[in-house]
Amino acid sequence: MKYIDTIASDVNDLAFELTLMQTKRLVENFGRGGHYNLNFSIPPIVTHGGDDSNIEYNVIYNYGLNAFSYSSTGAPLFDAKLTMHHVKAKLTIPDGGRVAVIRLKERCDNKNGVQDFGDQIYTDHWLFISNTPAVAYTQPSPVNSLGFDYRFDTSDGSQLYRRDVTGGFTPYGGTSGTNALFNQTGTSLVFNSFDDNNKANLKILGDRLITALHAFSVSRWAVNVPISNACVSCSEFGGGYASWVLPTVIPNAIPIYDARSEDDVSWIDNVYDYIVNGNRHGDVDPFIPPYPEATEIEDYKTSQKLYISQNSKTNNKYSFEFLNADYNKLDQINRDQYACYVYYNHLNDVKKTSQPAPVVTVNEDITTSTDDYIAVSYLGWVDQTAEDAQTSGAFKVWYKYRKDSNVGIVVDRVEWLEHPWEAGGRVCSRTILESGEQVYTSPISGETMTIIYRAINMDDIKADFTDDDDNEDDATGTDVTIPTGRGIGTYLISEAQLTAINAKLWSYDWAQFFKSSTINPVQCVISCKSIPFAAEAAGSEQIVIANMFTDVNASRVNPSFRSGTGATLSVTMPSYNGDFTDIEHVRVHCYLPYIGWVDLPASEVISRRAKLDVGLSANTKILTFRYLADLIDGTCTCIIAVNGTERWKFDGVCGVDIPVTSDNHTNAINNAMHAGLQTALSLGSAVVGGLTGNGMMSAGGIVSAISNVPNAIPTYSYSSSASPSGYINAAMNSHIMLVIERPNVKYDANTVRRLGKPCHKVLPLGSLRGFTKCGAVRLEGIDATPEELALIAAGLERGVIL
Amino acid sequence: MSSLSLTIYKCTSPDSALDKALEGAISFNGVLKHACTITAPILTIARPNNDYLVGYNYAYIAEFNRYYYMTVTLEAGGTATLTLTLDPFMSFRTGIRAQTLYVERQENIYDPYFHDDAVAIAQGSIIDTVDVGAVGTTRNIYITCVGASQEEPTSEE
Repeated sequence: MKYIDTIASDVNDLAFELTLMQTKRLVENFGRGGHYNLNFSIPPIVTHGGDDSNIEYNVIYNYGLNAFSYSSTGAPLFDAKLTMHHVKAKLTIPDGGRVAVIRLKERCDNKNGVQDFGDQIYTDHWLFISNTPAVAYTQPSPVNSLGFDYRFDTSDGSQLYRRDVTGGFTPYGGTSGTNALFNQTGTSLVFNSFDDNNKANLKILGDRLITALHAFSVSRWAVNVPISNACVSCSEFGGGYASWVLPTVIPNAIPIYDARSEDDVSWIDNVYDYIVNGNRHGDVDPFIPPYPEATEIEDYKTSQKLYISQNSKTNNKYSFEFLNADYNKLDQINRDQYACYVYYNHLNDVKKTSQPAPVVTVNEDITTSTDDYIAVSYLGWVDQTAEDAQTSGAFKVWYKYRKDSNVGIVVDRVEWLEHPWEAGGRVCSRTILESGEQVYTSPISGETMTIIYRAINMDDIKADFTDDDDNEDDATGTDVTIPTGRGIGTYLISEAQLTAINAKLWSYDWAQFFKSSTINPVQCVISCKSIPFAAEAAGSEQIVIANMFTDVNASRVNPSFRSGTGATLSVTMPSYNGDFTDIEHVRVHCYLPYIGWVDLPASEVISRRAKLDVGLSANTKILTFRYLADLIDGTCTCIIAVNGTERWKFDGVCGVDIPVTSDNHTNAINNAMHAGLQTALSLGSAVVGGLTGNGMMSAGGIVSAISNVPNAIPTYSYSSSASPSGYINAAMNSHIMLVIERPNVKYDANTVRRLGKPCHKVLPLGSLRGFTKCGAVRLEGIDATPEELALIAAGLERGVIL
Repeated sequence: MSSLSLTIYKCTSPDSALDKALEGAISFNGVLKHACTITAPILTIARPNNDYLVGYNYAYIAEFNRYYYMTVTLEAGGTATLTLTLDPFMSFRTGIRAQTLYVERQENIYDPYFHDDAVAIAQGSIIDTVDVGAVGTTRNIYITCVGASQEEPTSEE
């Protein structure tokens, strides 16, 4: 295993990007204004600005098109409580330098035992620390001695602000200091040496990050790529920056230290020991970078990452339908005290609804935008599986204390990439094609944006970048084809051709021919059926019956025993309550045309939502219905697959006999008279007109009756255990229908607060908040009497509010 | 009998809360009324300023380093008897937080796909209908016939 200090030459200039979001909890903990403004901008962008209307939790940043926006008074206002910061930085690492990664865990916390909404949100984030040489600057008071308390503004070339003890910001004066964790050099953010001077600062930094709601996020990072080359994305607020730069070389592994537990502070010493001395004890596992080691863009195809870019007022409108009363449209909702997050994990839905649309305007004032747009860019989508994809998706967030809402993307289940802001409206999104070509979509007025989508297929071979070429994707089994030649043939014929063949079979000439034979001509016709599926035609040729030309040319069908196109449908299954009730109390009834009603197990067909803090990834179920028809005997089979895996097979009858052959002639007419005519009663004179004077029905008459059936498809179907004839099936609903019975669940947030929900995990109580009920309690390390320990154990088993 | 350093509070937190919200602290000394355990001591106090101690339901004894639920019995002569019952949560909250235990139910960390009897399900189902789409709406006639031989077909002429 290689650590970064052994391959330092590969990781010079580790560029990365991070997001800071700060919460009220953070403010309360530190009793300050609560603004940790770290808006490094390379090239100069960002800083402070935005809405100064003094609304609590107002956004005071504004990615303002390379402008440094002050309030109307011209002075930066940092009194408002900050919600988010975005940082781009380049970590310069010399040869032999060491980089450690600290894994943090953000959490939406209770406040004094009161929680406005239900769930806490846990997400892993990463902090990179290195031992690069210090860049000195003024040493502020200890609590302020973190880079997060500094704002660099390059709009005027050199200003560096730090927050002083009065809460204001004063320009950086350029004097030296040693305790800061990192600093700015030119257009780069440079980490200072990690030593005893700033060791305590790192602890403070970690504490702040850990206690923040969305404290710290390194969303993308790269090496050897000038940060100024980072592409841009878009914003619904009016410009800004954010995007990613792809690494060319990245290390295999960097030691990682787990700082996710509030109670465990040993990680800071371990990090220090590694950075200063190179000792790697205490690292929990190697940090696997977001991208696998790769030097060619082709190699990224193995990436499991997927990105979605949001576009603004340009293309690919996505219709948000959030406000269904029962939130059926929402895949996952997370709420905390400050915001409501809605995740769109169903990428197929995004894909389906994000059709190319004309670009209306360019550089529109998107601050006034009321519509939201999402375009999808895939990175590594080639071998994306449905399960992988469902950990990603778009999200929308409404802030409780803000007037606006944001749209963002979820990169994967531990990282989420927020606010792909647009700078100047130049680039809306990026798509990496299978060929490796990167397509940047640039909206031009009147232009039709084309985002290349790729269905999330079910390829079972990871290294195989071609969809639908695996056995799992394709039709299983081998098509049975009648050998060509004069043996047996199946032909697609028209009604007129049928009439012509019928006439030929019973013509005088043929009758004379068969007089000398021992066979009846109709014995040479094995089957003649009306089938509701199209088969692949192999070319036109003259139909030969009993080794005699019929003078009728028709398309020979190849293969002979199965249907071709137009017989496959799919549907993305919903997730209703996102819990066990979806499995235990949902009944899924499925009507299959030509087959009847079947029941499907909810546990296998209802989609599941993610709950990442307990390791549950979303699992969207896509049902695919594929029909196969036997063109000779008229039977059909519907094969139902779940996410590409065939699970069930149901048989039915779809063919309708046309009485040409001797074998089915009598049966066909009987069926037509008894079953078909009943249908005909509702079809008016359609069939009546086909009856002959002696009460028999001609082939042409039956064909006419059948051809009228689809015009009278009823809107509902009924269930029958019998095997109906093809006549009846033809008259039934031709739509695959799902009737889903779901429970009327009465959720009550107060119940959850008082009783919790099933957890069944062994967890440190110090990491939990809210109602907690333990089982099989065995206490250790508490200095109490046996009687008191018994009381504690009993209390924990009854439930405690942490 | 030696006196104990007693602080009494008004506690509004539920018993099941690990951390109790305490207010209105009053500190004074009390003496054990008779022999008792550390988990359920009974103390006699002189009511400060002849206060009736209305609303006070919680106490802390410094010598025991423990918190207690408290019941006040007013006595004649400006005294009161405080019947205390140990609050194991508040008294040992630091140690409790340090425990790693099997958690059966939790308010925030839970697996929603575990069966939960606490979920209320009303009678009657909600019916949703999903139209997946139509299949087999086009009728095609297929005829399968036998040519009878591999020889050149017979002409009618």
